[in-house]
Amino acid sequence: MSMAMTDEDILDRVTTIIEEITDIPKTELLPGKSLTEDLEVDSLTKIELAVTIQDEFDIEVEDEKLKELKTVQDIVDLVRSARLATAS
Amino acid sequence: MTNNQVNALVTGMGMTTPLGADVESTWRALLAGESRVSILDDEWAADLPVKMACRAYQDPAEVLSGAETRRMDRCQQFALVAARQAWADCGAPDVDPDRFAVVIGTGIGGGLTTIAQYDKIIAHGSRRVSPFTIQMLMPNGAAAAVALELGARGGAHAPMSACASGAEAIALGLALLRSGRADIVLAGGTEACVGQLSIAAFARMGALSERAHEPQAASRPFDTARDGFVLAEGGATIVLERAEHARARGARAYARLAGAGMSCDARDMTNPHSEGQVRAIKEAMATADLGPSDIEYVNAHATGTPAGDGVEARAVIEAVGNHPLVTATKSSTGHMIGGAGAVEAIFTVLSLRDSVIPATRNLDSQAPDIKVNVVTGTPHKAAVNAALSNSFGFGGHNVTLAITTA
Repeated sequence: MSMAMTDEDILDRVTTIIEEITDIPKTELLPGKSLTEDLEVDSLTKIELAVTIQDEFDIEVEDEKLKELKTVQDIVDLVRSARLATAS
Repeated sequence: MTNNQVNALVTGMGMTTPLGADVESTWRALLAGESRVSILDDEWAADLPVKMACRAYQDPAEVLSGAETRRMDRCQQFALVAARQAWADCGAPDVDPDRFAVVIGTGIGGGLTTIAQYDKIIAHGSRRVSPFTIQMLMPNGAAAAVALELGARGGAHAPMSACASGAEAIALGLALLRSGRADIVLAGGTEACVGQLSIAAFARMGALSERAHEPQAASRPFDTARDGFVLAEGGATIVLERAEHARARGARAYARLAGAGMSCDARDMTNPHSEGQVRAIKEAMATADLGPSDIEYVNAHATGTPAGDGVEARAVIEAVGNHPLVTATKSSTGHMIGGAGAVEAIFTVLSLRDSVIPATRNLDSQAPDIKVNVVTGTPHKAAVNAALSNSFGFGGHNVTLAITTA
């Protein structure tokens, strides 16, 4: 994976993954959407999302961080910081 | 089994197999004598002593959503595909959910999931394990997924009797109707174990054919040169319904599940014994109020192993006689393990419906220990009013279904 990844690139891949997992059209997956309230992502699906994102971006995410994920943008932020941590 | 007077009709059928993505395409391919054994060129197969199997004609991912595919083991996917077909075929009626049950057997269950998730632990650690792993690997997962899909609240059961599981599920479906627990049951079997470990393990037992130079001829039940079965994957389900329930809603009936027999050899884990098979066959006929002379056709379990086919042929002759026509459809489909019994129950129903018995493929030279009357060459056209379908499994499980015209 190229390290030069913009937030838009990350958002695009994250929303592709969410669409695949939830069957919610990507066009509805705006950054500010709440995972639980707007997208009705349940606890197991949230973990599935985390597992898939770790696989796709080849990053490690601590369980504690998962609990803090509330929105689509939170996932993008998490991926960005995890990639920086992996790169450093 | 109690109350043989409860009339159980087959009102819906569904399947996905190596020969086709549904009942009718599979049946056409079977009657055409096709075989879809393929050579496994996957990286994981490189080290295997046997590199052939019958994969499903249609990958279930082609008809299931992404979420369904990811959250269900492949054996559950086959079951769901077959169940949706069968339910649509019976007219998808509004039924009392508390009187509607599901019974889906499997021989191995979510083995591919178990291995895939274990591989993830080894490669990346426990945090990469899917949170859906347990519901994917649990052997009752297929029955539960189908019950969830169809809203069947009268019970979801998962009999496990290796290669007899699909037939046992149907036998238990009949028992649910006859005991008064249900008015309608969706029953069948499923298997998805074409993978490195299962092939290595079956091969180590000497159960698989090694005829790799001629894969389409590898599955050859009853033949002198038979040397084992060819592993296959797929699933099938039928809708069984009390006749009064079916009539009240004007349902079409393909056939009647007239009786079922179940026994255990209790002699050896893997070597079959005709005595137990005879008991299952006789019980199937007795519970169907049929005598040996009524049986015109037997869909044999016959997998193509040197020991198994001969034992079954002796059991059929002892329990029924040498008059029925016998066919071994695994010669075309390969061996779908827990799915096989349900697939073959449907083939038996279709023989009654269409008055035709499929031929046994690859039977070039009938072995001297096979004294039954095997249909070979081309399908045999004949009206069939009463037939048996045998399914036997490791563990000494024996199940025979008795099917008659409605």
